[in-house]
Amino acid sequence: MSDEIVSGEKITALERRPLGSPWNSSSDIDMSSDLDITGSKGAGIHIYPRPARRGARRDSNPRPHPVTEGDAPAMNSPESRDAVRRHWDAARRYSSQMVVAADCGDPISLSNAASDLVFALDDLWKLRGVRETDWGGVLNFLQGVMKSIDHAMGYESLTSENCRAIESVVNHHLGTWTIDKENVREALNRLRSAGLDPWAPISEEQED
Amino acid sequence: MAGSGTSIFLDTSVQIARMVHGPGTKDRIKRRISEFTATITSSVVKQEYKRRLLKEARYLLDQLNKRKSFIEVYYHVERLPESYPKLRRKRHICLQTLGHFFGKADDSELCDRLKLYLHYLLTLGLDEFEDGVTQVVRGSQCGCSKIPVKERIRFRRYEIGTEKCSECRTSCGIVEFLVERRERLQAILRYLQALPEAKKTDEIRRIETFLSEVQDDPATAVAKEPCLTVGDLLIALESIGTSTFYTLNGRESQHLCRPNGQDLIVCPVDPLREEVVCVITEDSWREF
Repeated sequence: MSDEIVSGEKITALERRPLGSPWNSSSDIDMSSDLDITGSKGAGIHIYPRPARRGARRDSNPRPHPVTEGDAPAMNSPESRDAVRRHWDAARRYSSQMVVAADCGDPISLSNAASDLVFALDDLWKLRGVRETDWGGVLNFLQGVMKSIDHAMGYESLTSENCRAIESVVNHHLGTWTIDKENVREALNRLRSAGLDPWAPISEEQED
Repeated sequence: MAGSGTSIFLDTSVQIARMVHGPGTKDRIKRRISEFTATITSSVVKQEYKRRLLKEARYLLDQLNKRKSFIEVYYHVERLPESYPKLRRKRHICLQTLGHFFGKADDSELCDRLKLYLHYLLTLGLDEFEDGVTQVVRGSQCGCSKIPVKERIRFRRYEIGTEKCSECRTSCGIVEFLVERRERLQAILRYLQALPEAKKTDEIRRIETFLSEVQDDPATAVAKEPCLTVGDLLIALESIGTSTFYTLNGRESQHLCRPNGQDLIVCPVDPLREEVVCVITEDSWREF
């Protein structure tokens, strides 16, 4: 009987073994990668990664996509969602550190925590394609506020009230749940009521 | 002047300045407002805010969609004033700051950020307008101000609504508003007629003509598009009952606050210049 050629089937596996060996689908198959299997009964099978198809995305390396009309998250993989959650956790931690530093009157720690927060927000911005537009809207406003403070008096000038507002926006309006327009409105109110200026990036610059 | 139970009326120039002027002007306005217990604005101010600020946001969003580049839009807008000097005076949204704040961002990122700002200015700008004051008086029932901004296609198509009173007759209450204030209109007309011609601006002359024509037949007011042509008069009428009128442009307001018995505070556009406070009990005011 001639060897039976198997090729082109989408199958996931990690090791090479002779055809006919028993497969235990629960332990032998790695669901994380796409592989091609090809070979013959005599020579065993060869397994190698399937080349990426045109237009396919690698979810493990998400790239931001431009602001578009739709809200469909094009890179909404578990990995990218997890990355958002991790950067959000970091942002929450740094904003909380800002509050503590402001309450203690420690401008150096305050400025360091604020810088850390800015880096965490930058990391989140890179993943904006994963999330809905309104989430990106809140993030954009928050980043603008941080930039305006940095350009004006520096992070050392942030008050406890300012820091609490920033912490509140990070905690309540940048989370892993769905963020909508009402969240953006609340975030704007929260920032404005603490004396921060969410519209500074499209306002005139310092007049002097 | 300011104290317990006092209120300050914010006109269109102040409401726009609170959103997009420089930090010096914003701080000064904030300090001034904090002296009062209530901040009041009105529906005609809201209509002007839409017509001036939100319309500009829509224009910039259109340009971004057309040119697909922040830098190209920036230079396009910068080039405009050379051919249209009047536009320079009326431009509010500043693109330069965004470029400075996000200096390391590339053109596509700046484009994304500006789109988000303009989108929220259009969709939440009117909420921001209302949330930022104690009360919006709606005595005139301005029909144009009642039309919400409609988002048809996100980042692409928004409808701001008409600027003409005649196109929203059914919802516009300007005629009733003027009828109820007939005596006040006559008092303002008498005051304006007594002014020397040299002190009258073009808008003051328009107001005088408008008042002369509508006092006999207020029903003709809507056809004259008063929100568009004599907005300062309508705003002055809506502000009655507020002790202080706050503006960045005192040229017309100085002649309307007097007959309305209000104090006037003028915040100069240049933040290095002092605010001018005109108290109603003073015999003469500085001229603007």
